Formats: sequence, structure tokens, C-alpha cells
Amino acid sequence: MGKTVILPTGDGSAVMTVKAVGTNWNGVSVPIRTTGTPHNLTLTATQTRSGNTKSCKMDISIWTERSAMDEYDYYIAGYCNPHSGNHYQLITISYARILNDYPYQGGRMWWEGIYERPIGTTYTTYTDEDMSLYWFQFPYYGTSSTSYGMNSDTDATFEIEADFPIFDSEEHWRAYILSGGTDTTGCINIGEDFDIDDTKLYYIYNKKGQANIFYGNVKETSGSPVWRSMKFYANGRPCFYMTDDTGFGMTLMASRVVSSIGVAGQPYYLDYIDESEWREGELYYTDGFYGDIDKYKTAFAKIPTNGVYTYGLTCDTNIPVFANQDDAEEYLENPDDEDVLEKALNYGDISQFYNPTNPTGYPDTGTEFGQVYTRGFFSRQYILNQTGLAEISNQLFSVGTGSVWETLKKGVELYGDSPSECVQSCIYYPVPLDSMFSGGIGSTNSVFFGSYQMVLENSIAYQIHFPNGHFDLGSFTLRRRYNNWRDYEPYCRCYLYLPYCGTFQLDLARYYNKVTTIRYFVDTRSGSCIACLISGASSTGGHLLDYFNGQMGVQMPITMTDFSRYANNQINTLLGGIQGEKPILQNMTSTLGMLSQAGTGGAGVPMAVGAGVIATMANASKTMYDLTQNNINSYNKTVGGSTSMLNEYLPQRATFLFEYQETIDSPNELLLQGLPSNASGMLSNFSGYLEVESINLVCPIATENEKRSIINQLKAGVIL
Amino acid sequence: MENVVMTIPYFANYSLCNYAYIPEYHRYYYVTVDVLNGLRLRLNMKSDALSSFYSYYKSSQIIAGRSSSHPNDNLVDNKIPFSPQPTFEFRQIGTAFTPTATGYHYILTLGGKG
Repeated sequence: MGKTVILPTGDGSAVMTVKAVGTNWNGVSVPIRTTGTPHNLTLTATQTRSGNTKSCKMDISIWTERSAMDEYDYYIAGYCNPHSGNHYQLITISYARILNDYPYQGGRMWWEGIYERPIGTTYTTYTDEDMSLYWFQFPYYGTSSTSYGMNSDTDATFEIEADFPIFDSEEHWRAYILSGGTDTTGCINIGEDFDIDDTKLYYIYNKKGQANIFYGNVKETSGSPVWRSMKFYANGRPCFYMTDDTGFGMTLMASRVVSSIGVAGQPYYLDYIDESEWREGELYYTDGFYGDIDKYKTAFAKIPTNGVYTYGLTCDTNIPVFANQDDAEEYLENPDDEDVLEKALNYGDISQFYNPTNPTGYPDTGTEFGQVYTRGFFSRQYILNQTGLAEISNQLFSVGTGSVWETLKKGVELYGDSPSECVQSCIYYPVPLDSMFSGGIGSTNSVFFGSYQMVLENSIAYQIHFPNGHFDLGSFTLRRRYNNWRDYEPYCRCYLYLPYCGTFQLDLARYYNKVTTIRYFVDTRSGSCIACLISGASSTGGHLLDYFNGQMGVQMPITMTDFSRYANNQINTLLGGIQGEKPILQNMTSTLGMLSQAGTGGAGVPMAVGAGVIATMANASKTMYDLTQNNINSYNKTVGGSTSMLNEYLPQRATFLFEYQETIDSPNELLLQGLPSNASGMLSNFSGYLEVESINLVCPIATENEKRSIINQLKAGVIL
Repeated sequence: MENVVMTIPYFANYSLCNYAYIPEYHRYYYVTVDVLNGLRLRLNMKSDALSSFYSYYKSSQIIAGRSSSHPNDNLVDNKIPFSPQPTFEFRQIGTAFTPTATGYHYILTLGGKG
């Protein structure tokens, strides 16, 4: 359902209601149409005045016309007007483009259809030959004797149904035009299922200097071709498919309704280029007729080996073109399937434009954080406050008779030849290991501690015979956003967060348009991992583009010695991470490290105190501390100050961060200052703005001063 | 013929004249006008070589630094100003690690008989 707008009526007493009814605008902003499928507008007005009710209905089709449409983007839209005088200028229909940051209305509009006018009329206003707009004005107010003013005696309701946007104010209409057809704020007839965030830019741009498309009727009537460039925003997926064997006919399909961009079902007219000059006389269009063009030298003819001519439609587009309708329908049913998209005849080109606002193709679902499920079965953990820690500290340093020290000393003697001494490590991994190593493991119901066999009565274990396995985190294909130099560093940067490894900057040039798989390998002894980015990955190979080290496994403390190592990891890793980034804290770090080894400490570093004391009591040597430091250093190379268990809090999926340096573009840039070129050729082959880098000036008639003047001006920039 | 000075009788709309073509010289000229004693006009004419000889030098070979008709999208455009505020896009992709409490997630390494 559309929205309802209550508008002011001058004296504030009348009820002026405008509401959208029927089929809403589908959100697809389209440039203006000339002939072919027109825009549709239905207006139903009911007016009660002095107890008498009158109504009228207008059901019209609107066409627009403008030459040189390829230069600008015009959008048709309407807006409700505020009350003016004693009549109500209900709605203005116009089409406009952006000119000097202001919506510039242009061209000519005409309409036909059913129109009853007991209470309304229309006005067409021309302010100059390039400017027009339609006013649909209610109630009727004119020079005749029948004049109805808006006052407290009037109650009017207007229902609008249009396949283009209608805005509640001129301000919102202006914002829509200025945004290039994307800002739908204030639109009263937009469909509820339209999500502006899902819109994407689709376009068909002509390529200058090559075989091209233009709109035929203008050609026929005026004799001068009007080259079409079409751009529209849609939140559906459009595509073309070829409709005949000549390669000229294309039909537009879409996953959502695309009203028309002036080409669906209408003929494409092609012209050809010969020696850089546009020539007329041969037209080719979708009806299947095509002339014998092989007698001309064309820029787009190709001769395959079988001698049959085929012709390419040369235009820039990010809309996939399929060879037949079946492929097109398959694409619309599976728009995210890369394999289907690859069937597009222009896949090599459109893959760069496939999704210009979403380089990965994945939706923006927000960041999902993980949760820690790691448990230490050989230890217990307690949460304490400062008072509790002080109490424990006091008891630990109590050496009197009957103190905790004597009890602990007995406990240390018990360790002796305990089977637990056989435990080399217990490591937790955030992946299902039985699946990861499925090819090299065997189930068993017992484990060996040295020579002691422990039978598992309530569970089974898998003995690893060959620790050979990997875990694929997914794959991605990066697309270019701008399809120009801005897609590369330093104008665009790409960072990839890899769980348990860290965040790394990728060389974008290496990854564009490649299907790349993220594959993890782990070391079952140390818990370290390596994340590989593999292009064309298979079970046996692919191209390794990058790899990054990390720490996936969490060393679980088994013995007191292990816990000492674990605790020292926690503290010193943290301090090491700080040390790496904050040199000013180096002295403090060193001090804390010594305190930890000596088993002493201060109240401000409770973890260091506990770890140091336990390490001393378990006779942990300096060697153990050094080993710990080595582990810490390896952590710091990959994930900074975080330990692997903390990494379980972090996102568990690979996450891209793209940083785009945005330019402040001017719509007149191409026209007024051109773009970097480096093209060479005859001067006459260039048009528009030209800035010559170097020239071999041949002009015998000019004086030397004039030659210098010509060269200087050409180098400074001229408009041809 | 690069610079030509002419003196002609005064006429009221002289200020509308700022460009001229002299067929004999095959040149267009930029014109500035001085009024002499209110009776005569002196036309100071400087040739517009760029326009005058285009048909002669249009076949000259050039390398274009910037162009409207022959742009190259792969060349960096240093004339475009950049916004100080970059745009950021975040995307999570693929599947996820699954650190859960159940399942076979532990590797216990024991010394001794294997």
C-alpha cells in the first residue's frame, strides 16, 4: 500500500488528501523514455464542494523526448505542490538531470489517454525550448466562468497510481534527482518490499569510436543518431539474452520488474564505424533483419574460421548477456551462483562490475562474534576479588608450622612417577577434528599413559595415524568497484581478518576476479596453524597466493608445570604485546617479568604473582620460562597480545575490510577537463576536451610564433 | 600578419566587435578597440592561430595527456580531489569455525606406548 499525504490548503480549513493506490512504483529509477513503452499515470480526483461531489479520472501515458540523451541522466518523477492561491496545483510531473548541483528539467513531454476534466485541467509550461513540465492542477481554475477555489467548503481526495516515483514535496523530488535516482525519501508510492540498501547500479554505456547502440525512432525522424546510454538503479537482477543468431537482438529480463529502460522489446539499432566516421544507411535491429555489411570495413565485424560473419555489440554494461533465454532464466533463479554467471557471453567484462557496491558478493550481515567453549579438565578456575587474592597471598607466604606451605610440600612429593607425567599436551581446536583428519585416524577405546593402558568405558577416542587434514573456511571472488585506477592501492585497500591468525593487508591486484579459497592447516603438536589463500583450489592443488601463520590450538594446563606455563603465557603475552607497540612500557615489562620469575610481586599484578609463585613451587626452571617466552613471541607475530583462547571471542568467520578513498567528482569533469588518456593519433580523431602531451605540429602556413602559440594552447588544454 | 592594426571610422556598436576574420590573411583575430578622438576607431588585432589553422594542423600526430574522447581508465587522474573521509565496507564471508563444548575438539598427546 502506498502512503497518504495531507497537504496544506492555504486557509488550513480544507481537507486535501493525496494517497498512492494500486500498483506502487517498483523502486527502479530509470532514465526517461522516448517512444516504446510509455510511463503510466492514473489520477482519480474526488471533490466535494457545497454538498456537491464531482470526480474525474485521468489515465494517461506519458512520453518524453530529448536529444543527446547519452550525455546526461534524466529521471522522471512527480511531486505534490503546496497550495497556491485559490487553486491547488496538485502534482508536477517532470524529468530532470543534475546540472550545476541543481535539478535541471529538460526536453519535451507529451501524453495521451483518457482525461475527464470536470474539476481539473493540465498546464504545460515552457520556460524555454529546453525546459518543460506538466502541472496537473486541481480543482479546475482557469479563465472560464467555472472556477473553484480551495477553501473550507472544499473537501478533496486524490488517488495516484504511477510507475514512476511521486514525492510529497518538491524538496524530496529535488533530492531524488540530485542523488541520481537513489534517494527515495518522501516517496509516497514506493513498494514496501523495496529495500534501498539492496539497490545496485546497472548501466549500458555507449563506447565512443566503436559500433554502438542508439534509439531508432529518433534516427528515423531526425536523421541524426541519438546514442543511448542507460543507467538505472534496481534491487533486482536484470540480464539480457540474445534473441536471434545475428547477435543483434537482445531482450531484457529481470528478477524484479524493470518497467522499461527503453529497450525491452524494442529494437536496438546499430550503426557502424568506418575510418572513425559515423556513416548512415545501414540499420540492424532485433526483428531479425540485417543488411549485408561485409562490404564495409567495420570496427566490430569478426570473421570466424567457417567464414560466417558475426557482429559484436560494443557497449559497456554490467548487465550479463546470455546466449539464450534458458541461460538467462537460470541466472535469474540463481543470481548468486558464479557458475551460472560464467555462462554470460560478456562474463569477462561484467565480472568486474557484477556488484559494484559489494566486492565480495556476500551480504552485509554485521560482525558475528564467537564464544569460548574451551574447558580445562585438569584444573579449576576461580573468580576472586582483591580481598580474596590478598587472603590467598597471605596464606601462601605463611611459613609457620601447620601452614599451607607444609601441605603443599607434601603434594609436590606426590607427583613422582605419576602417569600424568606422560601427558605432553592437551590442545583444544575450534574445529571438529574427527572430520578434519578423517583420512588418517582410527577409533579406539583405550589410551596409553606410557606403558599403562587406560580403557575408556564411556567414550571412544580417535588415534591419529597421519595428522594430514585441512579445513576450508570458504571462498571469495573480489570484484572491482570502479573499474578504473581507483580499484588499486593506495586508493583502495583491502584487509582480511583471518580467525586465529590476525588481520592482513592483501594485494588487491593479485585477487581480483579469482575464485580464492581460505584453507587452514594445523600442527597437532603445537597448535599453530597456517591459513592459505589458494586460487583455483582443489583437494590436490591450486595456486598459493598468500599464507599467514597463526595459533589455533589452546594449550590446556594438565600439570602444575603446565599451568605455570599457561599462566605465564597469559601474563607475558599481554605484556609482550604491549611492549611491541608501546616502547615506553619496556622497563615496566622487564620489571614485571623478573617479579614473575622470582615468585614475588605487587598487588597491582595479581596474575603475575600467582603464576610466579606456582612456577617456583613446581620447580619450574628458567628454561621453562624461556620456552614460554618463545611461544609468546610466536603468538605476537600473528595475533598480537591475544592468546588463542581469547581468539575464540573474536569473529569466527573471515572478515574483509575495504577502505576506499572517495573522490569528489564533478559531473562535468569529462566534458571540461577530460580524463587521463595517453592515446596517440591524429589530432582530428580527438573531440571534446584535449590536453596534448606532445605533438608533431605540421602547419607550414603559420609563423613560428603562431606555431608556439598553437602548441602552448594545445598543451594547456582546449575544447575541440 | 600575426598582429594587425586598423583605423576605421567611428561607429556606435564598436564594443560588440571582438573577433574578426581576414580572408586575405587566412586568419581569425582577437580584436580590441581604442577610440581615437571620438571620431575614429583603432582595431588592435592579434591572430588566433589555434582556430585559423586547424584545418592545416589537424592531421598532426599527437599524444594526448587528457582527453574527453579517448580516456584511459587505468591511468591515475591526479586532478580529482579526494575526500578526507574514506568509505569502509565490512564483509564476513564463508563458513565459520565452530568452537563448541561438544564434539571432538581436543588432541591429547601422551608419551609412551602408542
